[in-house]
Amino acid sequence: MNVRTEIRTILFLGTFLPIILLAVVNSGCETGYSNEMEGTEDAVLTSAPNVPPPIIRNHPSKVVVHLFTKEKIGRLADGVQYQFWTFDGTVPGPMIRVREGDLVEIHLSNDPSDMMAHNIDLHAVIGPGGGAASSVTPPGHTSVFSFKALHPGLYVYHCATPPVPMHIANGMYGLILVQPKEGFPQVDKEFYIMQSEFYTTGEFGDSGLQQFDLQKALDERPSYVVFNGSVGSLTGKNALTAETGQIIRIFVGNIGPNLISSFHIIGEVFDKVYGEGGSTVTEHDIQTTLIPAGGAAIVEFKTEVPGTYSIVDHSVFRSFNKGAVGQLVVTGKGNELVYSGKQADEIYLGQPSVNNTSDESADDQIQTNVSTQQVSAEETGQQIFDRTCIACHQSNGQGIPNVFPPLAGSDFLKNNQKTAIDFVLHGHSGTIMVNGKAYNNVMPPQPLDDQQIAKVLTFVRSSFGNKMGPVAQKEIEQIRSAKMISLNGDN
Amino acid sequence: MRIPLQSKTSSAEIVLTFLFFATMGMCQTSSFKMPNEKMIFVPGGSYVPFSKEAGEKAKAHVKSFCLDVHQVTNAEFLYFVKVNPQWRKSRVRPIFADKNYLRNWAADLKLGKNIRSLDPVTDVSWFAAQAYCKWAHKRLPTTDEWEYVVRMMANRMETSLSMQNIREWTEDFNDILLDGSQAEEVDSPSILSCGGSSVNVNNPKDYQTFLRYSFRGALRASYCLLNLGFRCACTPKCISARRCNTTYHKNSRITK
Amino acid sequence: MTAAVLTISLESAVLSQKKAESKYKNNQSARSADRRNDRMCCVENADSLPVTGNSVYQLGSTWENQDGNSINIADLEGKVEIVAMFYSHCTYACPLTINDMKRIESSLRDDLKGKAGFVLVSFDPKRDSPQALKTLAKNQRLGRDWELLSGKEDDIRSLAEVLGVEFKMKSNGDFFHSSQITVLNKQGEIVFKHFGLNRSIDDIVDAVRSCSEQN
Repeated sequence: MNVRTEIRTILFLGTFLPIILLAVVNSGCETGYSNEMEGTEDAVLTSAPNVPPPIIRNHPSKVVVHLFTKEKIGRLADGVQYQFWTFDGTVPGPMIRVREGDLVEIHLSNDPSDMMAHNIDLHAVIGPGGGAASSVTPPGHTSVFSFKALHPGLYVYHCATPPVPMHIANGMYGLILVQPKEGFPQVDKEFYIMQSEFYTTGEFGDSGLQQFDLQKALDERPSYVVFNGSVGSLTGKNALTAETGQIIRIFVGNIGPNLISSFHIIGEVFDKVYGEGGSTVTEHDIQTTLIPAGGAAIVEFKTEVPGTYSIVDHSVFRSFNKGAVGQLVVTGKGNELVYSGKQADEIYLGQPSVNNTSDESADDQIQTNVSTQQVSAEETGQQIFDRTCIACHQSNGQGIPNVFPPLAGSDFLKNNQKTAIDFVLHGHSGTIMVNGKAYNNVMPPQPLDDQQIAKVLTFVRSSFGNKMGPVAQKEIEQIRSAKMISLNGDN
Repeated sequence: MRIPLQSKTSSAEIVLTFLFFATMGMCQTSSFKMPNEKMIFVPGGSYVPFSKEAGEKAKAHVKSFCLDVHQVTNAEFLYFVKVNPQWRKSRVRPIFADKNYLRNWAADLKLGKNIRSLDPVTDVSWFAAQAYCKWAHKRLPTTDEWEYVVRMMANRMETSLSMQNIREWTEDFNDILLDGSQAEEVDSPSILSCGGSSVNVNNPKDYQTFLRYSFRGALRASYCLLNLGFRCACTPKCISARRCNTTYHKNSRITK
Repeated sequence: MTAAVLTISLESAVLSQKKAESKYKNNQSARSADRRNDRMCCVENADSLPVTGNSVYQLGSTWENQDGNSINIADLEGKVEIVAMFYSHCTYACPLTINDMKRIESSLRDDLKGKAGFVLVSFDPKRDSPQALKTLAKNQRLGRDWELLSGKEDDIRSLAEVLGVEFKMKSNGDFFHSSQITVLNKQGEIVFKHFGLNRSIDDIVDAVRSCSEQN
C-alpha cells in the first residue's frame, strides 16, 4: 500500500470512527439497553409497605397508571378515627414504579361521593404543577395526562388542589420510583415507608372521630407523626420481617406537611444512602439520614444479627409520644462476634463516699456520693441511724432474719470494730457470720462524713442492749485515709 | 226543584266519583311539588372577598337580594321537568348536561325508592339549574352573593338558611381561574394555582373558602355531580319593603 | 255532573299535554332526519352522539352584530365557524387572538374562503355596543366573513360555559379570561379548541380544512 492510500485510510477512520462510536454508544448497544420506546403496560401499584417488583426491561415503554381519589373515614390510632382524603383508599397512596425514559400516562379519577376536587403533583414530572395543572378533577370525573420520566430517582407525589397543605395533611400522598436505566443492584427485600404528620383537634390518643386542626398545622405542632398513615402500621403483627444476612433496601418518603425527618433504624447502620432520593449512592455508613418534607431517601443495609429493630424519626419525642415508630423483626442465626447480647450482670455499688471535711487533695480522685440532706451539727447518732440504717437493720437493730444481720447483740459488731467502720465507709458484699447465722447480702457505702459515722456507730454500739465502747472520729479518719492511700498507690 | 229519591243515590255517586278522581289526582300530583316560595331577604353590604384582585383587603359590594331558604328539592325539580320536557332525563341535550344527569332517578318522571322527594336535587348541570331558576322567575345566586351569605352564616348573622351538606351552583362559578395554564392574560393572577394561591388571596387561612373555590373552579357547566345541587336567588322588586315576592307559580309556562 | 266536569277537565289537560309533547317530538325527529343526512366531521365517536345534542346553536340566543342586525346564534349554521371571545378594551391577549384568527384566515386556501366564518363575541356588552364593534372591525380591517356579536350577560355566560371559556369581570370593568379559539362544524358542534396566543396555527387550520371539506 502506498503512502497516499494509507493517509486516506487514516483520514477516513479518523473522521468516521468517532461518529460511528458515538452512534453506537447513544443507541445503547455498548451499554446493553435501548433508548427506543417500545410497548405499553399497566403500572403495577402496591400498597405500603410493599414495593412493586423491579422493572427488568431494558428499554422505555408507555406505562399507564390508574389512580382514584376517595375521601373516607379510617383508623389513625386505636380508638381514633380520622376523615382521610386518599389515593386509592389508603394512606399513603400506592407506590408507582417506572423506568427512566418511560412515557407515563396518569388516569386520575375522583370518586363521585367525594366533596372536594382533587389533582396530582408528582415530583418526577417536569411540567406545570408537576401535573397538577392538568389533572384538576371534580368528583365523578377522570383526568388524563402524560409525562416523560426524564429523571431517575425516588419522588413523592401528592394532591395539590388549594388549599394544598390541607390536602396533604389529610393523607393524599405516595411515592413514585423512576428506576435508573441501569436499574438498582439486586437486594433481598425492598420496603416502602412514608412518614407524615396529622393535626387533630384532640390530643394524641384522644378517641373518636378527630377533625383537622388548622391552628396546630400553622404552628407546626402535630398531634401525630406516623409511618404509613397510622400509629402501629409497622409494629407488632404489622412489623417488617427479614432474615439475618439479607440486604434490605427501604424507599422512604417524608411528605411532612411540615417536619423534616431524622430517619434512623435503632441497631442498624445504613451501608448505603441515596441521599434525598437521588439516583446515586451519596453516602456510606450512615446512622441517621435527613429526609426533607416533600422529599425521600433510599437506604440499604445488611442484617447481621436477629432481633427487633425499631424504625424511628430520631427527633425522639415523635417516636415515643406521637407514633413515629415501626419495627423490623429479623430472625435467623446469631453472630456473637458482631453482637454478643448480655454477657454478665454484676453488682455495682456506686462510687465510695468522700469525707467532705478531709484534705481536698485526697478528694481529687474520688467523686462524692452526695447526700443532699443538710445535716445540722447537733444531729445525734440516733437521728443518723434513723435516716440511714433503719431501712435494713430495723428500728431496734434487730435486722431481718436471713436477709439483713442484726446490730443488737451482734457478736460481729463487737469483735470487728475496724471492719464495721470499713463496711459503713465502703460497703460490703459477701457472706458474714453474725450470732452463728450466715448473712450473704450487699451493704452499700453510706454517704456520711467521719463525724457522722463516729456518731452513728457509737449510738449503735451503746443501744439495743449493746454495751460496746464508743467509736472516735479519728478511727474513721484513719481507715478512710488508709483506703485512699491504697487507691492512690494503685495510680 | 225537589230532588227525587233517585238523585239521593246519585249524589252519593257524585261524592264517591269526586273522591275517586280527587284521589287519582292526588296520586298523580303527590310527587309533583310546587316550588317553595320561601325566600329570605339578604340586605346588601360589603365583605372582604377571597381574591385580592381588587386590591389588598379591598371590599366587594353586594346589593340586597333574596335567596331561597332551602335548596331546590327532588320534588320541586320533578315538577319542573314535568312541565319542561326538554329537561327530562331521557331528552336533555348532551351539551347542556352530561350523562350523569339525574342518574339516580328511576325514570323521567319518577324518583324511585332511592331518592327522597324532600332531599336537595343533585346530579343537575349548571344549565339545568339556570333553566329552573329562570322558569321560576329567579336566577342563580352569584358567587359574591353566595360567599357573602356564607360569611354572614359563619358570623351567625344569618341562621334561617337550610344547608344540607352538598355543594351548590352559582351563576359565575367558573369566574376565578383555577390554574395559569389556560389564562394567557399577563396580568391575571392564577389565583388558585399551587404556588400562587396564598399570594393572591386575602385570607390564606380561610381553608373552607379555599375548598369551595377549588371545587367550583374544577367544574364545567355541563357537569352533573352527586354532591352538587343549587338554590335560586332574585333581586327583590320592592327593596324598601324588604320582601321577596315571587310570582312564578302564577305564570309558569314552558320555556326553552 | 261534577264528576263529569272533573273527568273532562282532567282528560283535556292530559291530552293537551300529550299534544304539546308529541308536537315537540315531531319537530325533533324532523330536524334529526335532516341532520342525519349531513355527514359529521371532526368528531370522534360521531356515530354515538346525536347530532342535535351537541350543537352550540341549541342555545338559541339572540345577539346584535356590528351592523346592528339581530342574529340568532343558530343562524350561523351551515358554515364552519371559528369563534373567540374578547372585549375591545383588552390590551394584550385579545389583539393577539384576533391576529391569530387573521393568520388562520389568510392560511385558508382561496376556495375555502366563504365556507368558513369568523365570530368574535364580546364579554363586555356595556362598552362593546354594535357601534363600537363596527369601529373595531374597521380598524382591524375585518372583512365580510367576520361577525362581531354583542349580547345579554346571561347569554354571554352560557356561551362561554358551552365553549369552555373561563372569564371574570375585574373590579375596573376589564376581564380576566382564558385564550381560546374554537372551531365549530357546520352543525355548530365543537370540533377543535386552540389554546394560547401567537402560537403555531397549523393545528387549527387543519381542523378547519377537514371540516370544510366534508359536506
